Amino acid sequence: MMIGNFTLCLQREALLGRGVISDHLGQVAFFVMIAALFPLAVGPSPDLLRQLGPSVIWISALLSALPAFDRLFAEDDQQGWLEQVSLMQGGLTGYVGARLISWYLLSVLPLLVITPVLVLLYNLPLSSLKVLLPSLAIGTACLNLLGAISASLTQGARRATLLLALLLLPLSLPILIFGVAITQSYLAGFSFAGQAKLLGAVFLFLLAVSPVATIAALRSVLEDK
Amino acid sequence: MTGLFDSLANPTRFRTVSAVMRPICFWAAAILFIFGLYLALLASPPDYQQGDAVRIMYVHVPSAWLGLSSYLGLGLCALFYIVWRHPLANIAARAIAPIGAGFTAVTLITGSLWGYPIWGTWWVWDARLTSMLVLLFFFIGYIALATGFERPERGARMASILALVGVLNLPIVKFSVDWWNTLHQPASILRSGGMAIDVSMLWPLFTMFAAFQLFFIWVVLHRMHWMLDERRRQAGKARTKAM
Repeated sequence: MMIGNFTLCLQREALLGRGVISDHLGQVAFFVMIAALFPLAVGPSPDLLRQLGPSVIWISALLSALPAFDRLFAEDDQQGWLEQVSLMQGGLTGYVGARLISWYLLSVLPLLVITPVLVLLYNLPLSSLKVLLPSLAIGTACLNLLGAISASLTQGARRATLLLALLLLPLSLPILIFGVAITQSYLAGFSFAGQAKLLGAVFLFLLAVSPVATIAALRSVLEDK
Repeated sequence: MTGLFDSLANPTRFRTVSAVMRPICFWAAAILFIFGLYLALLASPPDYQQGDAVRIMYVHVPSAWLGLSSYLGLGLCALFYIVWRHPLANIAARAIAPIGAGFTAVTLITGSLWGYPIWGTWWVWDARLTSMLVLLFFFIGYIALATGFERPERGARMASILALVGVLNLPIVKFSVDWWNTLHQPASILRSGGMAIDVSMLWPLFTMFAAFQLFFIWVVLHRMHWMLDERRRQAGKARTKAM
């Protein structure tokens, strides 16, 4: 029964996705802009930029994702879809799953497509992409899982965007640390297996925890209606 | 255990018990604190490597323990509040949060004061320090969420969920010195293979810890009392308005 709800929500996301794709493209533009600020601030020295490159790309991915998260559940809450779907069989579980998958595809895929450009801008070897892209894909998935917790907790709060950032940024520290370390170890010629395993562990861990916390928070949102 | 919890969960009975406990905790904390300070600053020997700088430990370590254990307390209260919806659990959590944040901040500050003469730097981004900083952010996030909503009950529920998520950070803080090679020294008291600290330093440490702990209980009970009064006053105001 839960599967039925899940596929229904997925279909709905696919239909709605076309309408919000421009929002997510704006996020990608923001991603590139943040990355473009660093050379202007630290100077154009190629060596320095090559050193900073992986960190800058990760920080840009983190910051550009931040302002979008307050839309994650806001519209569905205001339009009553949350209430509607919570009454269906399968409840919020299928909805949260579908919503996160579609959010991930819409926000992360364009970002991964544009990342090679940043790699060139920062003088990183193109071979680093084979490490950078998978680690970014997993890291941003972790980030979205954390974003789901933060967005559902701050849904309807005063100054929700600020609160969301306040919750999300400290939570995302391990992702940033392990994520950057993977590419940097690769560039330095060391083994990055340890960091990659840690990032994978964070992902699996969040995959188990985040939906539970998100659904609990969304239930609280609905209880007050 | 449940019986004890049930009987204390009644706000009126809680008041009676806490009215007895508060002065005891306060005076015991005050006496232990003076005694502990005497032991820590005068009676205990300087470290053979660090000299007198080691005396920062008698503030740093107890506040670190309290920062961690008060977050554990916050998490337990959050669990009680989420599962049984008991208002007193929420009041306890709100009473604990700023105090725990304070102890965590004291840990970070004394740690950095200690780090400068010994490590030669105020701060390093190693696992123990970073995870402790994240703990402080969790306390701040809890307070911000709890006060961030128009309706306080909603803020309380959301903040409790966050507090529960944050409990996962506690083992990371505790074991960060074992899992990663860090500049911060590994555990010397609660570790496998027995304690790695001399008795002459252990006693002042435990005395200070007891003093901090009693002080913590006193402040939290005080704040809970004050919040219960505040709630009663609000309810009274609402009642007169309704009439």
